Amino acid sequence: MQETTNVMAELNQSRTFGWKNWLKVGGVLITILLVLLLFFSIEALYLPVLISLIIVYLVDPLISYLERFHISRTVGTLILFIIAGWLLLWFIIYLLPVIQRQVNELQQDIPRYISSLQVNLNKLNESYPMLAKTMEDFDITSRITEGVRSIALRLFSGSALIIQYFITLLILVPLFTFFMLKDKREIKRSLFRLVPNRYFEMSLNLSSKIDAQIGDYIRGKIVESTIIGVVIAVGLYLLKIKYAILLGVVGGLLNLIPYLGPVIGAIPGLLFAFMQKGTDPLLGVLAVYIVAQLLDNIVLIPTIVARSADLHPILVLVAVIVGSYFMGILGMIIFVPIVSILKMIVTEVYIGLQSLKH
Amino acid sequence: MPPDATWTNIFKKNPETFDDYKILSENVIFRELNKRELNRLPQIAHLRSYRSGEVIFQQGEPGVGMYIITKGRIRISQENERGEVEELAVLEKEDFFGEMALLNDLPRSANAVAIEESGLIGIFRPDLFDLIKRNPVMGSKILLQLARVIAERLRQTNEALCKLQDSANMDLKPS
Repeated sequence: MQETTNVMAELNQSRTFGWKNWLKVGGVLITILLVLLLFFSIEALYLPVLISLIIVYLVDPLISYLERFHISRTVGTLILFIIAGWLLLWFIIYLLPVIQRQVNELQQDIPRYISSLQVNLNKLNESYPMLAKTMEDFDITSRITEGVRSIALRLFSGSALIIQYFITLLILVPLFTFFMLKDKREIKRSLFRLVPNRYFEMSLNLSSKIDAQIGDYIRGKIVESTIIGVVIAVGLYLLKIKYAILLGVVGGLLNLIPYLGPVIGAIPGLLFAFMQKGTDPLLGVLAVYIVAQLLDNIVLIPTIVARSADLHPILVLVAVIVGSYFMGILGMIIFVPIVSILKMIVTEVYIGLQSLKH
Repeated sequence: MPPDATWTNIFKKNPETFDDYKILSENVIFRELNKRELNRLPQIAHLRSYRSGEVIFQQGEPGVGMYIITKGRIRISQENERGEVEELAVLEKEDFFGEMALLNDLPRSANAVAIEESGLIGIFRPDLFDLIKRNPVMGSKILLQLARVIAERLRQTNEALCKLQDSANMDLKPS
């Protein structure tokens, strides 16, 4: 009888999630939040870690596949690194000079494009007097030209910084990626050893769900954006728009931003087409971006990004806006999976607490 | 009262001295694994320690995996509709429990509480499914043995139910 009473007392104590437990949970959450804030404030740290995490999520299924053939994670990671090294070498020897040449040409062409932009805007005003009045009232012509000039200035003056970043990333990213891939399971097990027994099962369950969803999201978005980038590049190349490859890369990258990305991504393409050739190719360029989006929504999203962030569209938009406020374009991309993770945590904790009540 | 087929270890061998992971090789669920596969098991096993009175899992919680006892004793109990707690079994070293959670996340059907300071090896569903993806042969062997364990428990439960039904029918028969 005494033992039964003790068992009931233990279970009842375990069921009541009193204020002390809330305090502990709150304390842990605040500590995690502070660590994350500190982490994200150090750009030299969070950027290589973030890129490494993306690469890990991208290639981990390949490493796991190699394990089926009794190839250990260490050997599998080394094989992948050798392949990646060859690809990087090929990129540096063959592709980088092409991109560098295009960037240099663009830098030289920008002043000519800005004058051409002003000329084409004036031609547009002559063809459409109503539009001319609106543009004059809001001083749109000078705003657009100044905007393009300022972006160009920031982009090209920032190129030295980009090169410096590139070198740092070239050293840190492979280092982080190698150890994260090779020791992924051991790192997770070490972290789980720190979790108290009471939250252990819930944490393990949650971690695997987050892993699966974020992994699918990252892989899906990268494949999707690559395909969209290629479609845009090919379309613009066929329309004989200069810098089609660069515009394809920009379009593909901006496609990572949900809902707003395709719209933002079309602006550089339309602007370049207008600067190079006036209004003639605009419809064609618009058609390219529309076809890319139709392909995305009808084929790619249902098949590749099937298990997306699992968020309501309003929540996605809020995440994009909040992300842009804190971290600009990068924030617009990463805040959606972050909000998805937070949603999963809240759901699991809620289910856990509900089961305790019953 | 006959031992509860669902919770008591009907496959228990004579206890010997094992170190923690060696216990895995003697567990009925991993009996079909070869030496190489057994060496891979610790990759999906989590060693946990529980103090006396600590709850491992509660009735109604979503199940995540099974536990094998390496040290100590665990009380399995169930709360009935009146809120009374009934002890179903007391498990010892090498016994295992909670294995049905390896297949689905249905709520736990009982409570598991450590009677004294205990050591457990936990094997959980996400890790098992990950193992099945990377090593389908090993994963299939584990799933097959798991199915056999559950089938045997079901058979024993059915037998016990039939006996109960028979004795209930006999009591109801007019003399």
